[in-house]
Amino acid sequence: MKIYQQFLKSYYRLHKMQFLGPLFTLTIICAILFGSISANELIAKQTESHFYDQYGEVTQIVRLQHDQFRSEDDFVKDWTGKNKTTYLQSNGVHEKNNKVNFVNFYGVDQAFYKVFPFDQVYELKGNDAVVSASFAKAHKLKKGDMITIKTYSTPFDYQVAAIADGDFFAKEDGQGANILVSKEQFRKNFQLPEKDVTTLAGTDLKVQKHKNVYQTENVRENVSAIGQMQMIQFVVMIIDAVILLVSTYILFGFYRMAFVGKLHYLSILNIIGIQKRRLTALMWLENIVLMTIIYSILAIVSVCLLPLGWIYYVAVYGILLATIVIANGFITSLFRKTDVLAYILGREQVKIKQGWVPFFVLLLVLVAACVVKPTIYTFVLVGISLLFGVFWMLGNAKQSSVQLIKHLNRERIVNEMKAILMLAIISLLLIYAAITGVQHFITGVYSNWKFDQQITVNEEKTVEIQTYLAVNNVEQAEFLWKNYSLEPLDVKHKGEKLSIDDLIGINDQDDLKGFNIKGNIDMKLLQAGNNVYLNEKYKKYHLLDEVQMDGKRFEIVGYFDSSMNATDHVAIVSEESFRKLDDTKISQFYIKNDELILNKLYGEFGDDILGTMDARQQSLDNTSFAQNLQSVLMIFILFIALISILSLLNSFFILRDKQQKLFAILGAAGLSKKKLMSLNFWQIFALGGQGLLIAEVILILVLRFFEWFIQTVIGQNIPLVVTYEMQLQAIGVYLFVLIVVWLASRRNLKKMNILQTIRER
Amino acid sequence: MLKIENVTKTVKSGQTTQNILSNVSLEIQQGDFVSILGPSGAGKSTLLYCLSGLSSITEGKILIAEKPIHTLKEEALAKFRFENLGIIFQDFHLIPMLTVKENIIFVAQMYKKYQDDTYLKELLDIVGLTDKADTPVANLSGGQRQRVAIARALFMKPNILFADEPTGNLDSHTAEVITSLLEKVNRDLGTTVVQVTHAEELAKRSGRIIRMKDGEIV
Repeated sequence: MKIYQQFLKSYYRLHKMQFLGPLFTLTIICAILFGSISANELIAKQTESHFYDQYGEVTQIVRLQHDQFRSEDDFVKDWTGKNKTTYLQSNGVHEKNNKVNFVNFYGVDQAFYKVFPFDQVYELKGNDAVVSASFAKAHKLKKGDMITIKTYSTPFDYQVAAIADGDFFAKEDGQGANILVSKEQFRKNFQLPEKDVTTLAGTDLKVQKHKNVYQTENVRENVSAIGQMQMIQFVVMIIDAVILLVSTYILFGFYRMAFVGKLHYLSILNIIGIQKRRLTALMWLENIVLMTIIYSILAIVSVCLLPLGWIYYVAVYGILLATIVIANGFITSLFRKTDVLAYILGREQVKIKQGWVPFFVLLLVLVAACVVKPTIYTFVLVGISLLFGVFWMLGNAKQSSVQLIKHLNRERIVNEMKAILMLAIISLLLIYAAITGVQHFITGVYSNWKFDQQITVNEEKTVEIQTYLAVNNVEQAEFLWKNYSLEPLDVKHKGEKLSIDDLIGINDQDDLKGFNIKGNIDMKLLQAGNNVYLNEKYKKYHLLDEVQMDGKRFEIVGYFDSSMNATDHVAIVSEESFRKLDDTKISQFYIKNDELILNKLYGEFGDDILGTMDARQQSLDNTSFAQNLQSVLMIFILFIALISILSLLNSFFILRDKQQKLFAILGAAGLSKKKLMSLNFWQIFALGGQGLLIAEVILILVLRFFEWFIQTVIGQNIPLVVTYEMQLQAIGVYLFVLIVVWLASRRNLKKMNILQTIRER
Repeated sequence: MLKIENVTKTVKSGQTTQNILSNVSLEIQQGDFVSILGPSGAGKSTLLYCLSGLSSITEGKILIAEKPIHTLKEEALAKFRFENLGIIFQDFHLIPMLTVKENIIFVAQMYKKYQDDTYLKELLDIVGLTDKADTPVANLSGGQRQRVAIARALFMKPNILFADEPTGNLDSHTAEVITSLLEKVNRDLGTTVVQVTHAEELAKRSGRIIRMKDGEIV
């Protein structure tokens, strides 16, 4: 054990950089693995949340009228309640004593309430309700919530227009008023005689909170993007797989290079009497030490930065461990077969035949690509790559620079040259994959950002308009019709009066639905006079047709899609339109002539923002998600770029060091430094060019293969396009590395002392 | 042919300055076969490398064919070395990945001076490696490698061949073969040969022996 410790100590002292290099690189690789899985995890969450939006019970409709008075923190704080499926049931008193006065309400004309920072007097209009603070708290009510007040069998919707700062008329024993509604409206709603509605306290009233599904058009767009997100997830998975493979190869390559560098020392130890099996054990020990350090670093980083489950740790560690075992197994067998004396004396070259394996694997991919997508284009590309491969291996070029490259590909250096080419290829693939991945990610989350912006910021072009609908459902309409002799909506189409069935959708649900709708309405269009958007169900009325509502003529300028809404709205008009047409206040339309139910017309431009609490929460989550994702992706791509650059630089510098003596010999033989530099230049750029070309060919074929694979396996047609811009970016990085290597080598050659180099090396 | 006057080479090591060569003067004629003998640290190899332009001098003059090579800049010196001098080393310093033939012609190729195989064949015949022309040098023995190094050094028909302990890594039999080869080169091709050696016996076979001690010719 002591000898192992001593060896490790001296080895790491002597070769600190060799030790730190692989360690650093391994750490980065692991970070990439974590980063990609982390991104995947986030994507998965995102997808899930979209599903939730689509199918989940998004219940509360919140109307945020006074956000402008609040700080963002207060705003967020206020809207973080979870109240998805809560119904306001009969309270305990009612259930226990079978009493009827479990909910107290009071009919008034004006309600005082407080909205920070102003005290306001709220005029109760239509179905507005103001609830006491304790009542709101008890039932988790927020402004904008819809509640149903039911007398006997007649339910009616009320909207919580405000929450009072106190309990006003409520008493401690639960008696008194907790809900303030308009007397007049209440009377009308429930067909009550002319008397003080307060006397109704104690009748069988039920308050039921609505289970409204509310979705903006943008949310719907997002929902429709779920498929896309799934595809993205799949693409990310593929990218992950590629990165895993490539990382494993890089890891393997580093071990191999590190081992070759170490072989000399191990051989000397062997010569002086340490058995090979002990040295093998030493190698394993060393790797375990290395891994322990890496694990420790990763554990700290992961715990601090990445909220991942244990399964991911296990997976990544498992992959790493498998790689270590394979690498160790490989180098152990290599070491066992090495004639160390011959090696030290320079009579035996370390041949690593496995160096060709990745090349042939890639070749197989090319062939597979040909098989699965046998286009002329594919065949041409494969042909070129094969020709290049032949040239690469057996080239017969006459030019001296190229000839040197050809010669250098022989014997010992061949493995390093191959490693460089492979690294060039995989680096490019990594960069491409990363950029492609980022593009997909960004495309995927773009709609979310858009959604966020629309929810939180009123932009002129995408203004949210809340409007009314004429009637809610057939039952209500019939009820009103019968009891109040109300005429159905007076809508005419080309002079022909339409029946109520033409305008009212059938709603199967018992509950009345909310009156709110939000869509991407062209505000300018809507405000341009007597324009109206009709429910898409009424597409039989054509654009620019004229319809009449309440005796007012409107021109159809568009349709809105309410299929995702639980309510069947008929028409959307702007407040401006009404004002312009009638020059009256909106409130006058509410119960005008008892002919039309116009509950309320919202739509103050830039004033009201609608959104479900969940949607709101989701928007916050989305924002947070998008930001996190962006950060993760930035780190992700930076890591990839960094590792690619490091790998390339490392490989080229190893090659340069190995070749230093060669250059010195040539210099001693009379080759001028200018010519040496020229040689070096062509070598770097010829190799770089080869790597680039091969990478390009392989990239195209691999992408085509994946396209085929995705289409075959999951039946999705996902075009994996690497744009010219992306390619240029990758090539730019690659060229940057080559230029750095060239400049560094040039400087190195300039400063090279021929004699010293020959003697020292 | 080769003339050096009062050549001194000093190296600094920390605060101390050490004279590797002290006021060395020497003249070698065309066609000479000169051996430089001396114990380790005498400055033999340093002198050889200074003569061949691989190492700079602190003071003095080095004239080859009346050309002051100590004044030449790096690029010109490299060209001069390529055209006029041949150098062989104790450790051969061949390019292991190349074949015998490729090692010999490589530098000439770089200067576009390689026309045909005629002289190459002649050289291979002289060094006795005709049948090994396409063999990678990594597969050769030590003696064969040194013969390749000699052929490489002679390919541009240099006026002077410098050899730094050419038999130092070889057994006595092979050393004998290499020395004979150098004699042959000197005799048949008329190339001036300057070799550094430890071996007294081999040195005696050259026409002239220069003995060195502590950086001076004795």
